[in-house]
Amino acid sequence: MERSLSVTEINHFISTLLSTNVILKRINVEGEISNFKYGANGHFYFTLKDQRSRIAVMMFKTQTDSVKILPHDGMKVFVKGKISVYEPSGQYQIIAQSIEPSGIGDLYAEFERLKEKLSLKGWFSPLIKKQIPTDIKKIGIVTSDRGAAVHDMISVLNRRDPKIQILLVPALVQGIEAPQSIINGIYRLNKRKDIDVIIISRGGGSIEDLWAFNDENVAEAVYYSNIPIISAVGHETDFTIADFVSDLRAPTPSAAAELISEDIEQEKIKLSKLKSTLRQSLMKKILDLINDIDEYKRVLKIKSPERQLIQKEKLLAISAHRVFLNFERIINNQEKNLSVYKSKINCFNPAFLLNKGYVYVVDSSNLIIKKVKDIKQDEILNLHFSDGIVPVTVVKESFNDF
Amino acid sequence: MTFKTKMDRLESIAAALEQDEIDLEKSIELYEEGTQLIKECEMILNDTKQKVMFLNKNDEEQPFLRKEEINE
Repeated sequence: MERSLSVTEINHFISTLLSTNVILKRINVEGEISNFKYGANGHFYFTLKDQRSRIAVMMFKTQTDSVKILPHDGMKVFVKGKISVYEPSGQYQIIAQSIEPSGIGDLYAEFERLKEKLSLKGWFSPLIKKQIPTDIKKIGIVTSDRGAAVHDMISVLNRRDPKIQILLVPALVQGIEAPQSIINGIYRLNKRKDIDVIIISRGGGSIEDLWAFNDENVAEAVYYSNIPIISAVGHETDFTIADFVSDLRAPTPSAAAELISEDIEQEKIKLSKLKSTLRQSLMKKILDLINDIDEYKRVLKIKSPERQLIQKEKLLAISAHRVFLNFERIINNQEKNLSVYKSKINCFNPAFLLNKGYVYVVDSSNLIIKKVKDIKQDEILNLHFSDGIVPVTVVKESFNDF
Repeated sequence: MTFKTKMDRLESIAAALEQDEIDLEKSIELYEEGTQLIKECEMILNDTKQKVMFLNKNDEEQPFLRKEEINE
């Protein structure tokens, strides 16, 4: 009879054989994932297959941190690891140490597929994007608590607007646990009532590094967020699904901080201008009123009864004066005329003539003798001088000289 | 009143004062309000220190210190 082995023995033998084989201790197998299970214990279990064959694969939780993108069915990968035998069942499998996508092209294809799917659902429509509020008091940031992204955002906000309060929700931003971490962050911020806007962010990296932001569940969390979400993922040229679904995309974390803040220097300038405007306006108003008062004063003065009285008195004085002058002039004129008449008349005053030496002769009938021929010889005549009368006898009728 | 609300109120006061129709008493009232707001806004702009917190596992806010601050 042939010697027989127990099942345990044969399985053990096969296990030893396979696990000590130099080649099988380090293998790199390319294939497609199917029946992927992410166990509660954190281990991966799946089948790696090609067109004709399949092999079981598992990965311990301790190794899964190195996996950037959560494997899924249909994903084409390189699995590095070793062959080991699970003796109780006589099954061999690959214990994986790393799982990597075998074609970047696959990633881009997956990206395009999801982009198309969500676009058709209307999740990228500008109409449903929320407005980022203008008066921001407190923001929530979902990002790694290390790294440049959080540092840059805090710096920019400190410089531009320190009034804005920041609440950081630390999250994993790459690796297979990143999507859930980001979703949790968004969810916890949405439960609060004091957050005006959420920024989800991470620094630059490869498409695998950024992959969490292409996760469909993350896109869903962004879509259903009640608080507006700004995505700031990677560099200016990186676009992730989260960027399309978010209410606003910022090209970088610093840019996101700038988008939500007013430059405090501008606010200071604005305040300064308002200060002078206020002052000037009031000053102008007061000056205008003072001018108005002066104007009223002036008008009152002009129109005051006192002034009017004075005016009228002046006019009266002037008119009176004129009347007086005219009157004086008239009287002077009359006096002049009177003098002229007086002189003229004096010429005819007999007393005037008599004083000059003329006499008038009066005959016995008391008639004035004017001509020589009226005189007879021996007639007695009276000579009237200025100071008396002298009777005379005519000696001779006349000298004939005349 | 938030800072922005105060600034907006200041702008309307400035605009109102520039109009001629307002009487003197009302102008002085507005000016005093404006001056007070300016004082408050200046204080906010000059004195506010940035407040950065993070959310811990119990959903409580704790001060967040950046690596640089810890090293200082």
